[in-house]
Amino acid sequence: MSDDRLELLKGTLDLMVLQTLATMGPMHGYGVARRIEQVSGDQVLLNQGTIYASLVRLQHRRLIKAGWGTSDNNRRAKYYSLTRAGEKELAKEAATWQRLASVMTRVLSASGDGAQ
Amino acid sequence: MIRRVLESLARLADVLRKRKLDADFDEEIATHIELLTEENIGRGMSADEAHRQAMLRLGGLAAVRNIHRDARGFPVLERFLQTSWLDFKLGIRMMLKYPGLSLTGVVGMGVAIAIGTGIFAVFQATLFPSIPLDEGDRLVGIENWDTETRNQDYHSLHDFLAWRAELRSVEEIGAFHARSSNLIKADGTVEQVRVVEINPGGLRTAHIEPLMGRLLTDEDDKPGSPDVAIISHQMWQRQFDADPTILGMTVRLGPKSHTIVGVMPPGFAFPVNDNLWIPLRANPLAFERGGGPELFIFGRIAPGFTRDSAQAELTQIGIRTASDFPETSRLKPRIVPYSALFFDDVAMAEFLAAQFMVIMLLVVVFGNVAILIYARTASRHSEIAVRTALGASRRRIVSQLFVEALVLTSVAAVFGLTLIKIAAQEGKALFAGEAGDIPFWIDFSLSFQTILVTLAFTILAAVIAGVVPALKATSRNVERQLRQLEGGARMQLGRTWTALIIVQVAVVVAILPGAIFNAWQAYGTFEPGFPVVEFVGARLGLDGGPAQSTELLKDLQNRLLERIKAEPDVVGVTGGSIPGKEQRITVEIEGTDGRPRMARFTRVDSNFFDVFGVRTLMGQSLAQTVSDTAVVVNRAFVDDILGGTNPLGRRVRYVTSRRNGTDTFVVPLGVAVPQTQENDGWYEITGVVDNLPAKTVQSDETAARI
Repeated sequence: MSDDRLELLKGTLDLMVLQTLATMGPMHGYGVARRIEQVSGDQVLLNQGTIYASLVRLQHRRLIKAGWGTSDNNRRAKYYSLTRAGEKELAKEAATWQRLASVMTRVLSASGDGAQ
Repeated sequence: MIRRVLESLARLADVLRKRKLDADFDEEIATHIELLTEENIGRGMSADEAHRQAMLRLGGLAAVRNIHRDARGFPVLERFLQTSWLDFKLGIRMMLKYPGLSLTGVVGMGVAIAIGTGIFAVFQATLFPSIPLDEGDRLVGIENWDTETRNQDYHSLHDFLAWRAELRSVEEIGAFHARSSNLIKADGTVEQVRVVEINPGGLRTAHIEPLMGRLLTDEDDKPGSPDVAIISHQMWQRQFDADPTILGMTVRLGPKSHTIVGVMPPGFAFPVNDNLWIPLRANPLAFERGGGPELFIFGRIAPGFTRDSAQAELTQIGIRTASDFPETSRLKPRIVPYSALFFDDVAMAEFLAAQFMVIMLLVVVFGNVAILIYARTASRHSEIAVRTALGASRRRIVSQLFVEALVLTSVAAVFGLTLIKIAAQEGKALFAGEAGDIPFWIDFSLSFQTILVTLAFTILAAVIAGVVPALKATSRNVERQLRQLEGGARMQLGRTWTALIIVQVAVVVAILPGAIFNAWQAYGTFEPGFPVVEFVGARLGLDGGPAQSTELLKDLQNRLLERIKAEPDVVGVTGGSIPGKEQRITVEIEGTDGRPRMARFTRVDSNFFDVFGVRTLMGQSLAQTVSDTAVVVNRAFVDDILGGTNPLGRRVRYVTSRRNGTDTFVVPLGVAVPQTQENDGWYEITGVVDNLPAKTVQSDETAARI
């Protein structure tokens, strides 16, 4: 593993989990963690255990719900899925992040015009 | 805000399902590890390596479990509770390990907490009660405050009528006068009872309907109406054997027959703790302003008004009254809490003084227990030093010792509350014995506030007995103690010192609260100074109200005394005011600067001093006195009021009724003392007697109290 992988900003993991569940549908913890790693192109340094803290937080906020199912290897696994409140929260948070990202991109790509 | 509350509730639910959620998570994480391991095997790793790498990517099983648990619940609080629980268990172990200390501490602190809480409970029950009636908090007393004597003036019949007619902010204004009377039933049995003469509206103020029959009506209050009475459920049960035909039955109250027209429901004892009510029928025309029966006046704050607005309205009425009747300008009408009608303002000062004394007592007792605990803590220095060396903070160790002390003080508090519970019954009987039945609103059961006070005392005790020694014990240089440990040195108090400390503390802890309790009980009582066992006493009064002739009373008394004198076992018999219950008056001495002096005034029979063995020091004895305007004074009166000058022939008269005084002058029993006498109310001092009680070793002031 390379040392230059990104550490997640505070609060971003919850949004990634919501987006993953919105895209992939109901998933277990391992699936969510792997999906985030894959989508990020293994750029994100994810301690997979932390995914469970995120899942608990989102459950407490009623943004996702959980139910038991069977995994690919035929084991009992807990599957998480988005609630209506989760869908709304995702839309709101995604819009905020996109605006922030675009502002950050503009600021960082600005030329030195006007600089002293 | 709502989101946070919902999240907190979800966390709380998870804390309560901790075991199940832990088991679920173990299963969930096992699946995760298995999937991750399979993925690693797919990448060509050996099974062991694949599992090891899976654990690494997960961050370690224990760590993941902790992260999950922390995310689910309230980690800080849970850890605190877990630690406190351990400290609590340690506290119990310590208590059992040092039984002598525990017993001394629990008994001493328990008694101290019981006294502290008990005194608070008694004062709270008497001073700040809640009146258990419909909207009882709106019930208030209305009284005249005499700004000269600084006391209530209860002769307010005229004001009562004015207030009832004019006050808009207080409704349902009532008044009552209580007196003793002989209840004579049809079978001729006689029993002394307390009768409440109350205006019909006053009885209705309680908003309680009768169990049987009716309440008093305005018709009953009119002169010439048939005499009626209403009795309590208790009286109906006890005195009339719950006779179902009670209504219409006639009973005699002294000289008058009354028809029972109503029985009140169980528990009804308004206005104080009463069982028998008759119409007041006080005619203001029969009395001068300031005269008439002593009345307690009360009412309900009307809807839309407060006590302050009622006071403002009452003050305006008071100003008008003072303008119309300047001689009453010293009286300021005021609204007081209902219960304050029956307890004067001194009680509040006593309450604060008692609370201060109690807290001082508690600090002394807790401080002594702290010494014991410090001795115990001192012997644990090595343990504390090692724990500190291993990383325990001072705060952590102090908190541990605080919880240990809290265990001890909590047991003491439970012991104290048990004592209070037992004492409450005894206290109720004591109170009832001293002051008649206790008012209906006084509830000695443990209130929420009482429990809170106990809790506060418990924590205070734990702080003094636990935190103070803990701070002291942890303030030493830990390294030095560790070095001492290396050298095998241990702090030991030794058996003798430990025993001495235990004995000293046990004595203080056991004796001090008891001594204060005894002092408290003795408060307000005094040694009479004569052989009490040789005397018997009885109160003599005329049934039929205050307007009876004093001549009749005198005649009855003389006949009674003659009959008692004839008894073979009786050495002497006399009459007079009840010792300690003399009337306080202000006197003026003729030929002085006219400055009024306070004194106690007692009417006694002519042989009173002979029976009590009090010497006549100068002039005539009371038995030799023939004039109706002659008085005898005691030595304290001569010393304090007359400055030790020759009193014989000096004249005194009383100015106005006062409550406080230190000296005594006496007049023969049955002599009326109106100021309208031809001699302007002057009395001539014809004799001086020694102070009563004659054998007292107390000061003249106390001796003069008779």
